Amino acid sequence: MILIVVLLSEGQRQFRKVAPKEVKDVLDDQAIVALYNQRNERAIQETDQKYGKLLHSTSYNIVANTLDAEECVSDAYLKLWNSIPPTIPKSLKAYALKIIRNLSLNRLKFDQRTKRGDGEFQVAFHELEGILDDRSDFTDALALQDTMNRFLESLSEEQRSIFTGRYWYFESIADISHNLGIGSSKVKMTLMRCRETLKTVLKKEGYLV
Amino acid sequence: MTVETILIALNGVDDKYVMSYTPIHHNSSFEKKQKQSAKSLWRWISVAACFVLTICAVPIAVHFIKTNNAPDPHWHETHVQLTDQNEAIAMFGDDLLLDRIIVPGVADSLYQEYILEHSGKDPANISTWEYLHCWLRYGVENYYDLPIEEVDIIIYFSDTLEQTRYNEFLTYHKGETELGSIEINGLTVDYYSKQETNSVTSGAWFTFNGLGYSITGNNYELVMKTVYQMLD
Repeated sequence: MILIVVLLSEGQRQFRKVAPKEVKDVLDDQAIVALYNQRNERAIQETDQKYGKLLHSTSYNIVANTLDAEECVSDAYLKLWNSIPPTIPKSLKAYALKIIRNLSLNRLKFDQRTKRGDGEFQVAFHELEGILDDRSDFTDALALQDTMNRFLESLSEEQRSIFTGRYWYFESIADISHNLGIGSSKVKMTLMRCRETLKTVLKKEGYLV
Repeated sequence: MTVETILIALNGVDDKYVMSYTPIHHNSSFEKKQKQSAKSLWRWISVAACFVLTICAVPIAVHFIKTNNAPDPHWHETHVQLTDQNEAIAMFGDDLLLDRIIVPGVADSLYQEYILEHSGKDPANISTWEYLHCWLRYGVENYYDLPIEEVDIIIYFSDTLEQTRYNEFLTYHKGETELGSIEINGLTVDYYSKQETNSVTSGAWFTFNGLGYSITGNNYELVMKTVYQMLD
């Protein structure tokens, strides 16, 4: 029985050896944007090669479903293709990330979010729910965007990284602590303080009652 | 204001804030899940393989166990079994030292068993005898309360048709770790001790009147006492 398990593991290893990773030259963002401007379809391939995994994992963190994430990534490439030009993004990475995040959030209907229990998105969602109330009327999206910019600016570099990692990329506490090389308890504590600060900022600017 | 509002607003923040965190996407949940699913696939294949093996192996193992434990239907054609000393002396003769193997005062009760293995051709003829196993278990009534004291005496017959067993006896005991030799009534007795799985087995052996005697047991003193009893 042990022999079979060993043979299967060996088979798995051999399988991995048979399919080595392809190593290709990766174009820089400007070159990729230039390909979009030239309406060269290679732009999509290069974007996929450079940011495909990042886009996929970002989407997956929200939709918690591989097929949905794949569809979001495909939609994101289409949106990139349609929007560049006329848009010339300063950062292709940030631009593509915003698109995929937006598409992934749109894919989720509000009532579905609470039903899905298999993603970091739901946890992060409920964390933010704790500081908000539904009584206040919200009207100005752009003003709130400015407020969020100011709020992020007020944070320290580390706090900002942690907050963005959690509520922008919806990464797990463990992933954030691993990525930043800090303890998970520190991540939790920082997130809690950031949420409190955000609550104060939102109250001060009249978004919360 | 809802969480959705905040999350949508966050989508519009400056690029530099988006770039302030670089997710290591190969460690992301997505890839982890992919790896986990790949791992779990192999795990399930392993489990399925083990299951199939178990299904196949169990009946085979049961078959072998049953076969090994099954009584040999021809056993009595080549063996004689007795549990009484007097019967044994009467059947095997009084020159095998069997009348002297009882060690009095060691225990109140003694279970004894005598098994003679012969070639099956003519059990009445001593030249067909291979060996006689005398198994003595002292203190059998207190099996669960007292440690069992056992003495095994195996008598090998040299004057047999093939002498196979007797030769094995000689070869086997030449390789034993000998503690030493003693003289009892002009007879040389070699004795030894060897470590087995969980216990130490003590033993002594000698040849007498063309017979090979091997006495073993878990109690060295009892073994040697038996030897003295037989030869003294």
